[in-house]
Amino acid sequence: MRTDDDLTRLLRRGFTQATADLDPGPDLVRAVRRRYVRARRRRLAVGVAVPAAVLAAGSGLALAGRDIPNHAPVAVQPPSAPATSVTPRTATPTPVPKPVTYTVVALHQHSAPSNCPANATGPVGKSENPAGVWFWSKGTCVFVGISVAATKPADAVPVQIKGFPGLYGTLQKGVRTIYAPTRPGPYDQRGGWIVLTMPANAPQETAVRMMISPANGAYN
Amino acid sequence: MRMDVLGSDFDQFVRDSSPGLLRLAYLLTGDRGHAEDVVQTALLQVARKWRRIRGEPAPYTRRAVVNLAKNHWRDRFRRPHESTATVESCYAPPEADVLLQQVLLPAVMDLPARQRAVLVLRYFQDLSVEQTADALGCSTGTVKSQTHHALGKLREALGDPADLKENDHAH
Repeated sequence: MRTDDDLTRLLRRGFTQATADLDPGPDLVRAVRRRYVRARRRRLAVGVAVPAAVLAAGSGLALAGRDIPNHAPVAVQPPSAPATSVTPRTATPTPVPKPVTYTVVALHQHSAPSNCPANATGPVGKSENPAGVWFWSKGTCVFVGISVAATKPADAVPVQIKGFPGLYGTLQKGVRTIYAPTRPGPYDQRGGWIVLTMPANAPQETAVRMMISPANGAYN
Repeated sequence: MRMDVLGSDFDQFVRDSSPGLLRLAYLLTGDRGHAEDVVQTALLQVARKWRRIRGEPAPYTRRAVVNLAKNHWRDRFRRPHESTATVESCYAPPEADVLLQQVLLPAVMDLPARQRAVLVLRYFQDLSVEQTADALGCSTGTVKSQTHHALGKLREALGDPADLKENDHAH
């Protein structure tokens, strides 16, 4: 019976023999430093790029299928959190928040389907004339028109929707109108207000989340 | 991007420790190429925490090598095209005597990863039971039992001691 001492002696000899000719190359220090610098650069780049990408994705609540002819209706998920809540790690915190502005979500490529088509197979679609979005809500097709105004009515009151500050609204003759501040941009050269018009019984929060996006003062 | 964040003490540490780390990684992985990868990656992990490591960096580095080698070993079994035979033939150099080359070292390679690591750490790195337990992240009791099981398997693989004497005389 071989003793533990015998075995360990053999093991030591075997290990020593097996590794006798092993020697790290002279460039190991340089190789490690090179990988270290590369990894640091990558981490820094990711630290900048990821929040920027999140901001870009969050603020561009694009309707999927906007490039498809005839506007094939496609389901759109509203954002679960406002894009303005994400701050890049590298950004310098500022004590004075920028005024919130909004962009219209991807309505620059329309053909001309009728709004609320009877033969719609999907839950969401777009319309050019009148400009807007229709969607199904509880068995009813809701059409939300989009336009731009230089000013909002004096009687407009603040609308409280989580993650969408600075909105105003009116309710007149069964028509609800939401006013969202905007800056001059590709959809609204004058700046002023994005105007969403919908029936009084339409789910306004769904419509707002679907059609405008906080732009944090800039267009994407 | 300041490269001297690491300082010359890191360079010195790499120069001093890398031969031992490479041998450790080689015995754990059985492949020189993988061993070099493991050592570089372990040293990179150390570099990232160089200024925050309190005390000796060697145990931390050794633990990193053991963990990376363990991952390599796990991955190896997910890659069926990499045969054990290749690793075994790399493991023992031709000048090793027959018993070590053909029986003992392949038997060590056939051990479960943790048992192999215990043997390498204890009988190649000459670590105590406590240091081995620290490197493997397990209890001293586990180290002792794994050592016992590993030596038992090697004993079985080696067979009769008379063979050893014959081989020793022959070489």
